[in-house]
Amino acid sequence: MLLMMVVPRLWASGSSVPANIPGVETLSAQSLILLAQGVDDLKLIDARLAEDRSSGYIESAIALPDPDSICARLKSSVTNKDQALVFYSNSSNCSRSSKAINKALDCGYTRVYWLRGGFEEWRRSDYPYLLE
Amino acid sequence: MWQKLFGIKVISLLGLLLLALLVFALAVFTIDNYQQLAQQGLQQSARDLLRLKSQQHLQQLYDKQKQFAYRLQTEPGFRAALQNTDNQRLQESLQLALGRDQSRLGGIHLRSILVRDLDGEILAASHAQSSAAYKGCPLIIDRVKSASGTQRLKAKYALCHDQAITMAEVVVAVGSLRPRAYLHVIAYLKDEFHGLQAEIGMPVKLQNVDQDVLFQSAAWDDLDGLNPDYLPVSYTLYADDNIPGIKVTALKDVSLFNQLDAQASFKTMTVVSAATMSLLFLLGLLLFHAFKPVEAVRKSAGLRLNGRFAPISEPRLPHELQELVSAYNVMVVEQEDAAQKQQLAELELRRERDFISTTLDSITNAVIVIDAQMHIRLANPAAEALLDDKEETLKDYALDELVIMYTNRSATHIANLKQLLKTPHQLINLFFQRDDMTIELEMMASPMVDKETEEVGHVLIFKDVTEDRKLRRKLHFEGLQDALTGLLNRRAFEHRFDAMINEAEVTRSQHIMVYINLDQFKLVNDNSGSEAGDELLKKVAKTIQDRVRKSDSLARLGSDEFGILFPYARTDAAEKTVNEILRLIVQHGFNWQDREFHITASASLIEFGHSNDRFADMYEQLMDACLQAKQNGGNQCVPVYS
Repeated sequence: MLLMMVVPRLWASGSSVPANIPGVETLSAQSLILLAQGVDDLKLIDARLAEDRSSGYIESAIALPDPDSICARLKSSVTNKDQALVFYSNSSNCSRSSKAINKALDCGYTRVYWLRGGFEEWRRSDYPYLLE
Repeated sequence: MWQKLFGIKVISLLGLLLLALLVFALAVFTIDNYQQLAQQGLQQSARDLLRLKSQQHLQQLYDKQKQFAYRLQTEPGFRAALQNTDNQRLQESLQLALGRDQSRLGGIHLRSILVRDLDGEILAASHAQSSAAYKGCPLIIDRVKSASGTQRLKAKYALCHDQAITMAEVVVAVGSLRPRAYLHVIAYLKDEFHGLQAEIGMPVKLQNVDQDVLFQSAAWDDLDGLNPDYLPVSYTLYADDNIPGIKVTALKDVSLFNQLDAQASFKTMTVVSAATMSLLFLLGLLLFHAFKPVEAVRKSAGLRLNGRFAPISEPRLPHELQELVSAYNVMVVEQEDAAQKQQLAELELRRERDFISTTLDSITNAVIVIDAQMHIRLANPAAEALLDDKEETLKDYALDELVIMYTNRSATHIANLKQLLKTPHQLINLFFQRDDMTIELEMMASPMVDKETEEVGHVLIFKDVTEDRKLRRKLHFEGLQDALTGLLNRRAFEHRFDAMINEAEVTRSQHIMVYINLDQFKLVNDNSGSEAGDELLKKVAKTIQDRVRKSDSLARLGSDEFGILFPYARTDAAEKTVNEILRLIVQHGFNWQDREFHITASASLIEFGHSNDRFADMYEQLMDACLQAKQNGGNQCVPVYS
């Protein structure tokens, strides 16, 4: 009985967050920092809801909580479609970043990176963040 | 003395006491052991809780310090001052942040906030009012300086000391992706532990490296030390340089445990005591019951050793022992019975032996009992006399080694006794030498046969016939001799005659037989008595004997008749001798009681040697011829010519 309840959920979460997204480079927290050292105009996109962001965020990350308005929001701040974008959300279980990436890809952005482990991985790695 | 002291009873008693003591000691030891184990378990769990909570609190403090730093970085004043490298304003913003009350600081008691450049050098610093300027723990500064690559972005922690004050220090980077500076946040550790008491439900005491009390619960003084219901547990949080940072001591309330423990101990000891006492009682009872028959058997056996029979009379015994005792009693009674029977039998046997002994002793014949090896087993007094030794000495000697027996009188043939024993129940003549004397014996052997019809020996009866035989031989001799004169008698004379006839048959030889008869015998006998007559006959015999040769045979044939046999003689020579004898008889005469008698004799002689010659015929012819001579006047010899 328990198995019947648990298995579909695991299935559902597993299916909603893919292991990787075609055309998108998946990053770990460490590789993100290494990437930032090489790329000056790296833009971080925080796909989390506002309440999740209040527990801390990576410095200079733009908050884009609404997936539907991503394209419009991005257009106003990132004009260059080749601009390097790094998406993150709460954790590897959170599908918000992957959804946002798909939107961004649809909008035509080409250099998209994905911090798949999200803010949780960042904080767990003891890298600095900001707290409002 | 010692044996008695360490008898079975005493040893059993001591053993029981020892057993009881052991059981009791074991119980006490076990209880104590479990008590200690339980207490140690309690202590351990309390210490684990303390460790867990202490580390948790330290972690919480670090988190709070980090969050303080991350929050500070979002403050515009701080950001602007850092961006413009305006250290004065930077210090002011730090001062401002430090000046806020603790609740706004997130419940931490800050000591200092420092801003360091990327090389770790201090750009700005702010310190709490009461505390002196502190530049932070060298350990953490080293870590900052030595970090490279992505490590430079990671937060750094250290637990450090400054003059016995323990501080938690955190260094975080300013700037998420590219560090611009470092924020060094220093907080007092002790304040973080104030809430520990409420969390773990135990009074706590905090001590620094110098054992100074930093904090202690209000109730601590009442409970610490002597109260056995509170068990002290401590955990020391070590600083990064391995110096004890903060020692947390908590008092674990063990009153319930002690209460339960006391109850449990009491119950256990009660049960153990009861069980031990019961066991002792039962064992004692068992021993008592076991010793009763043992004691009875001991007494009975003691009496038995003194030759008395005493069955055990112990009515109240466990049935197993009752059976044992019954069996023992049966044995004792049987033994008594057997002993009585044996006594009677011995008495009977002795009586019988005495009887036999007496009988044997009274037998005049020598009785010797020998075994199969001829060894003497018994010799009666007669046998002792015969063998000239005591029975004790004779015993165990083989009879054939002791004496040499002969089968003949002249002792030339040694008798084989073993061989002789094979013909039992027969009189056997034996001879043996003793003191230069030949002992003549008659032996009768009777074999002794046992149940398996195997000969076990012989009873030999020896009769000493030496004297007997001697007498008989004498009688035999006397039958051929004239008792009065010592000459041959008529029978002997006849035997000689016959012997000579038999010899003459072979040799065809000629012999002479002479007949002499006294002329005056009747006169002497009638006048002077038979005594005188006997004397006369003796004298005449002597006279004749003196005149004949040893080879001649002289005999008294009748009352006053004499006969002579001259072997290988001729008539004329014989006549001459007879005439000489007659002359000597006259010459000698006879005196009896002063009276002188004139004695003459008449004689006749005849030749013989033919096998047809018969003594009776010859004798008759001689008597007739002699009568003729008497009628012719006597004192003359008349030859008979056949």
